Amino acid sequence: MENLKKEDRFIKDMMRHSAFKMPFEDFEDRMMDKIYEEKQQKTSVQKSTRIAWVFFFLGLFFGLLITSLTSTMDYQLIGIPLKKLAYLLQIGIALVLLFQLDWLLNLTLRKKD
Amino acid sequence: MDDLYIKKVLNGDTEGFRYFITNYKDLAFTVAISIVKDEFWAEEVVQESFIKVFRNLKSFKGRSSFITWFYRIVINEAFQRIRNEKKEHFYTDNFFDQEPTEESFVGLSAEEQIALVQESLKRLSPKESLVLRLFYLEEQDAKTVSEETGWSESNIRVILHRGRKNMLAIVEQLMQNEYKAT
Repeated sequence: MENLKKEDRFIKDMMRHSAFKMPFEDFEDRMMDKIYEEKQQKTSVQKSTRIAWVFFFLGLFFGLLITSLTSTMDYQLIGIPLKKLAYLLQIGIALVLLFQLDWLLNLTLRKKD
Repeated sequence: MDDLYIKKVLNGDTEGFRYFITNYKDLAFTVAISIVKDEFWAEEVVQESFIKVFRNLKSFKGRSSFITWFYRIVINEAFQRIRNEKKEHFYTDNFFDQEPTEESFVGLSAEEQIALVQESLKRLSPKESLVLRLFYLEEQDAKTVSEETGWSESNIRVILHRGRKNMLAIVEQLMQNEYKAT
């Protein structure tokens, strides 16, 4: 028991010499530069996300406009009535919008975390 | 004080983050070098850890102290680093039969003592040198070390026991080989 205490004290004395100091003098300034870069990047991601939402809603608006217009038009395109092509267009636009919505929601929620 | 600066940074005062770098860079470096054993790698680990702290400061809920949370980040980052490098290290192990030499250690100059201890810690496994430093240098208990490392308290006691024995043996070996003549 006594030996164990002695050993413990000896290790404790030795370990006082085990502390390191950051050997790179300019570390603090370099680190702060990186932090400012990180902040700037964060701000630019936020800005881009906002712009992405604006374009998403613009796409949604024009997508709805185009699909509703094509379904009312009485034209034919290479022999196929435009009303039939409108279904394909609607499915395409809906898929694009869904993928975009999923991507934007992920981006926005990850940013908030 | 930590809480005050956390609030400052979260309120947009980026310069307030300097407080954490000034106060914790040496601690973080000591922890990182215990694991990665190389000054340049340790610096990179510390840099990456500070960036992670800055990115995730909002998610720090204060359930543990800031320093415990910070240590956890540094330790994870350092172990991640050695896993990524996939370099095989051979650490000195199992010298249980050698005797400690307190008297001869005290007889060394301060610089020699520092060099000897740091060289010995370099030769220990990352887990052993980390636990020894946290336990004896930072004077943390097994529970706190467990929170920081994610290892069980009983596992930490085993690592500590082995670390102590190996440390004494390595010191003894180094003194016989390199410091005997001085």
